[in-house]
Amino acid sequence: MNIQLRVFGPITDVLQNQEMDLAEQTAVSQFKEMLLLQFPTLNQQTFVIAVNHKMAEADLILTKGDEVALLPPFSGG
Amino acid sequence: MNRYLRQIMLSDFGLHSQQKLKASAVLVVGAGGLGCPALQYLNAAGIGTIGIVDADRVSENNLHRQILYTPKDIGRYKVEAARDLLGMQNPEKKIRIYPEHLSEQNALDIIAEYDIILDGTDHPACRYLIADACEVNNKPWVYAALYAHEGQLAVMNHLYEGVQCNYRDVFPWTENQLPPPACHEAGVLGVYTGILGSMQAAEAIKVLTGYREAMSNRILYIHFGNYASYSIEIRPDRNRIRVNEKSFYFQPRGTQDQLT
Repeated sequence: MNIQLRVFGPITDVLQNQEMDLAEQTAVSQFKEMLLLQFPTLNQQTFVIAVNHKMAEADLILTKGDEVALLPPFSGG
Repeated sequence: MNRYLRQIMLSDFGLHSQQKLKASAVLVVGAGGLGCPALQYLNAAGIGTIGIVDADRVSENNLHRQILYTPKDIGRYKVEAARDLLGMQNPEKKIRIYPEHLSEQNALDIIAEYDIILDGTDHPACRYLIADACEVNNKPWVYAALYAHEGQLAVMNHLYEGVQCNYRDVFPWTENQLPPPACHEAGVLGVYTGILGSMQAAEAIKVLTGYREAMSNRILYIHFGNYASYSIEIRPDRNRIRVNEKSFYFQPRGTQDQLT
């Protein structure tokens, strides 16, 4: 099933906004593990995962058409 | 009150909101890119007491964005230069300055004296410190941060509609995290800090007066290139134990020597 990935800040150096094809019944935690395997530099990034504009619980099951955002904290001031 | 007439006459604002501002105390941590415009607007709006924390002195490469300072201020403590200019702009106000880093040693005592704290810092370690000290003191604070052309804004630790979310709920500290680059590393267009710092002042005014809903329990992301924005709802981590006075000294904060 397709989900829409949105990324922000320095995460855009690692991957871009894109559609992704996931297995049915993928939980947010599984999705994160998959991302970290595919893009190991993300292991050094803190980021919050939001699904459809809401910070997601790790056990939330993703559904077709969900928008998944990866938002890291920024530093500058 | 002639000075504030134009905001008093705004519907929903009124004299009662102005009086709340006069009775309020706001602390700005960091008198830099974010802090300068925030301070300028809070001072202009009539906040009764303003506190400014910053150990730094003004340097030339600050001037494109730290708009309280002039070339004559180069080498002076930022808090002194800021106090002088703000004092000229609004002589009625009380301004307290702290020419030091916010640290574990002073954060709890300083923050206790204020109603709301503005984050004008440039490193996540500082934000963990502010978040924790605000949590112990039960104060809201306005988070803002930039990365090149992008910014974030949130009112943290503000009990709103039964929910009170703080920085650690959203960005828990992990040992291997690399902080994103700050302004002196990634660069920034001065005016971006002006926009975001002004937004912080607006959020503080909303929280203090209740005049409008503030950015509580949400993070607003904004791209200054095209003003595209994205906001997410945030919520407390139900597995996290909130910081109290005893546990405050044992929270991991990141690189200690990079505190404001």
